Amino acid sequence: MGEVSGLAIDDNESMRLSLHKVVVSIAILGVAAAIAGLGTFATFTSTTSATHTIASGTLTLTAPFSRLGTGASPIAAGDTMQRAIDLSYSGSISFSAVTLTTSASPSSLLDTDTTDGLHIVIDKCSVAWTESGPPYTYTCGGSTSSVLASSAIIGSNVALSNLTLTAGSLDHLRATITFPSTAGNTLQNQSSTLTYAFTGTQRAGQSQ
Amino acid sequence: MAGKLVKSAVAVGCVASFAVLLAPADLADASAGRIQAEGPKLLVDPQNVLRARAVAPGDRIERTIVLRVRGRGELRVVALAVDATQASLLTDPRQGLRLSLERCSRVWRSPTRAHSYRCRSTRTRLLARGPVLGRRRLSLLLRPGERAYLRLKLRLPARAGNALEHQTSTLVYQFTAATPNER
Repeated sequence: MGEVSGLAIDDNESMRLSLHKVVVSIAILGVAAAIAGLGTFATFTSTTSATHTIASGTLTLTAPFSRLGTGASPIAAGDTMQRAIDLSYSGSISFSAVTLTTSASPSSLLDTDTTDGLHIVIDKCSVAWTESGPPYTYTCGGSTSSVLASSAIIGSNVALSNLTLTAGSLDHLRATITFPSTAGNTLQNQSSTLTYAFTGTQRAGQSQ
Repeated sequence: MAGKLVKSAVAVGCVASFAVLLAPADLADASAGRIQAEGPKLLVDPQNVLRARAVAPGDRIERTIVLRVRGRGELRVVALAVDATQASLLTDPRQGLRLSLERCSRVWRSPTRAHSYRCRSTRTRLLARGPVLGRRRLSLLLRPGERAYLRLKLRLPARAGNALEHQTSTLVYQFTAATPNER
């Protein structure tokens, strides 16, 4: 009996120990759950957003009207040829400068002789040039300004002055090509085909 | 007896969990029996940043925005993610727009009508200039009632070529904030 009693006592102690373990385990679980709760819910997040549309512009230089492609033949020393061209700044970005590069192919003394060969002058009219001819000549009904002083016909990236350059605007130009009266017989029977390339550069960067 | 101990322990565990759940939250509408956990909200003004048109290489686009907190508690702005809902070459990481972010302790002022802003107080650089798209880490603490005056500065590199003409991108600036973990 004592043994039985002893056994009974041992069982009770064993039961208490088991219960104790269960309680401790549950408590640990509770604390673990609480800690898990800390990790999961201690931080709230919030987001907010703003939208922003950005569009780049266009830089477009065109010649909606040009007589530069009209040749002249035959020409003699002392002759002048006038040709009109409109430069249009039709993009959405203004220009800071426009340069002119001229080349010749085929080439001849007309373009390689920088003294007695062809020379070019460019003027601008505040309104469209009034054309007559052919042979073409032009008069300005508004005010004129000099875009390019007399220069040898061939040039590279020659700066042009007094242009409007503003996006959406137009410049009315007149090129006067002169065959100098000083040209000698060596310039007889020469032929050159000229190409005029106008190159524009965008305005400087600015705050938008 | 043991059974009561077990129930008590379970109850304590559950109460602790609820306590943790609700500690950082505002209790809204509790009188009506509804329990709602609501943390502080991060707000930005304006949500539609003024559009920039006819941007050319070398241009700078400056826009100011304000971040603030609605509700109780403070927030730490931890990230800025910039995404494009309308992508174009403008968001190209090599030759496209580049973004930097600065904070002024007071309202940014524009001395002219152009979008160019000056800080007349303490200026802090939050993000160095880099490709516009992507997610970056921030660390910006906002207390209730406090406002963060930010300047977004975008630049189209001067070396950007003709391929970037006539492009349009719509950017989304998304700021993420979290309640500071005080434990």
